Amino acid sequence: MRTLGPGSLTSLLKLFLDIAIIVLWGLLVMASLVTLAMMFAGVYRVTGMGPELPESLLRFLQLDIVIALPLGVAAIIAILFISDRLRRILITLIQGDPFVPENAGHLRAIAIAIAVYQIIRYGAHGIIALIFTLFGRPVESGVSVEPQFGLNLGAWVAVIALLVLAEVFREGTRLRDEQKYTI
Amino acid sequence: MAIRVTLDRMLLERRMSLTELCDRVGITMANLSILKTGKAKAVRFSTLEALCRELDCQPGDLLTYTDEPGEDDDEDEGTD
Repeated sequence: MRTLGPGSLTSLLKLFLDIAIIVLWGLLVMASLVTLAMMFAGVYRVTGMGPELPESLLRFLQLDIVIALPLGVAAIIAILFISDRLRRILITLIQGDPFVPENAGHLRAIAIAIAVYQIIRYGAHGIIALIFTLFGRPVESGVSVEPQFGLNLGAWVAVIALLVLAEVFREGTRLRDEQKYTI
Repeated sequence: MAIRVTLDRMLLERRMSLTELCDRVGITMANLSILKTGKAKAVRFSTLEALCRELDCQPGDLLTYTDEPGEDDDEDEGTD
């Protein structure tokens, strides 16, 4: 099977990414709605203002997995962003010319997105640890949320590799451009 | 770019068309247009030699240096 051009492996991968992006948007909407409901519940509990939520929904919002949802929303946004950039790179591959200056920018953006997500993750786990320390861990749940501060080496290596690859792409594109305009 | 190609003037002085020069030098019209409009980033010695031979001139007659920034200078800033 061909790897470049229409009807190639790349176009299959793009189709997969298109589907994944639609699914991710659905997940993002659902996760955002639950996060909003959680915020309303929190505001109502503290101030007594706002709409009163049903008891069953309040119990659902106290699950550990739901408490960790804002981080999940950040993760979905990061994955959506990365998928969209990857999709744009794949489009240039399908068109048969991936050596365009925009692809260097896309690779750099993916690297930055991974780095930002890692930093947000550390911050979120710090907040979770703080909440657990101040208010105690929720007990009525089958899922456990543990604050983790371990260094995700794979992610950071990917960030560095992508930044290097972006520079290689940028230089390659510049050289090709120079070659193209050398008469 | 501050280097300008004065191919227009040379062709006018010699009453030669661009198509005729293309045929004589063996360069495509597209490439010669890139050279003529100042979009070229580099010129090979072999191209310069062929142009000088057919136009009966020196490389200095074809190229001039000016302080004014060229059209594609802004595009180059992002890549360098």
